[in-house]
Amino acid sequence: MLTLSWRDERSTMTPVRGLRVARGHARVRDRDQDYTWFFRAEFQAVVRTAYLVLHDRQRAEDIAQDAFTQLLIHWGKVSRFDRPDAWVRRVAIRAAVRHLRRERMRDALERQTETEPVIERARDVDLMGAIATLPPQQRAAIALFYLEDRPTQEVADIIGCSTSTAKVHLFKARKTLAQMLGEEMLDVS
Amino acid sequence: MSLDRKLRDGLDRATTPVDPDVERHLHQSLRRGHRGIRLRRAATTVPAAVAIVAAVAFGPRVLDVIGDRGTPAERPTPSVVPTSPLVGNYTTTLPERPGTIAETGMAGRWDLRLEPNGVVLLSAPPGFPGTVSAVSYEAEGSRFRINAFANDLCSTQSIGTYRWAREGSSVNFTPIEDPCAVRMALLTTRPWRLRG
Repeated sequence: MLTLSWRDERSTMTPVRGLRVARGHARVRDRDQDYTWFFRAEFQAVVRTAYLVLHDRQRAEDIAQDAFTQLLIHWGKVSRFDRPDAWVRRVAIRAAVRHLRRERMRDALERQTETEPVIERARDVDLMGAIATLPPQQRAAIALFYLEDRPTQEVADIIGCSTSTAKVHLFKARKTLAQMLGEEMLDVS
Repeated sequence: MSLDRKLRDGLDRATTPVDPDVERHLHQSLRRGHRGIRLRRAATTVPAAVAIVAAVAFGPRVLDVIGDRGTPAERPTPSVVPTSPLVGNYTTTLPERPGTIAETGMAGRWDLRLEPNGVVLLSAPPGFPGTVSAVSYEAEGSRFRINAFANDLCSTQSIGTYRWAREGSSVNFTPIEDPCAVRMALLTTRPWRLRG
């Protein structure tokens, strides 16, 4: 809102400056409103996807929050993309995959023999336990394909690989899961 | 029930209890994001302001000095970037050996490119899962400092210092100080052969 104080009336320049400031504030307000709407619509889904990759609820929330913070910083550019939701997932999933690899590397360096992943209590312990044995990118592919119902092209775009590589990730993950869960594998393509 | 149905239903059930406090995270993200935006603006405006102030303060003096020395054509052209004698492309092959190399999947061919501006381009064997980007180096005399793997494997011991020596077409690195075993294994296991 533009208001002129008694000082504004003394100079012809000050109202112009005031108008610019007011427009700047309006832009920031609009940006924050759009961002808030987007955040409320997408945050929970991103946390759940990150959780399937990490199997650690707290870490999933932290990583999702970091991704959404980056989104706000780059909102001017990303909000003009066709799929800002894919952008924020890409940032979150890549951070989650990096985190998992770092953890595994740290374990290897510390010569820890216990490589059993920590699985939080969930209703589908068997399924979660089976997913925990998959490599990070296969976990991400499974989460995006089955939990978020995204086509393989989008899965590839978010993970950062070609569509054929994403299909390979999905195929290998399904094969492992089918063996572990004692299920028959049907072709989903 | 098919595997696909089981996966869809199971994943849905498994993630339903994951119910983050969206409003709290929103508040924190807005606060951190606004701070990040301010920092980004400062990062672009402060150097520009410093450059303007420096130009105003020292510009006339610099022009005087240039005037005293004569026209640029009479002077030798200085090199813009100080080049190190180490600049070039190198390669080495780490053998499959128990210990750090085997544990971190480092065995195989590594390529190292040292650029004149201090940037290192590192290429790892396919089995190495660490991050090899954003590496830089500094060479002063026979001392060589590098921050390879500072993003993950050496994150708590970000910089290693080595002494380098050329031997024919190879370069050997000897550690002066590097607490990171992975970086030390990379640089010191085998000599680095100059390519091309």
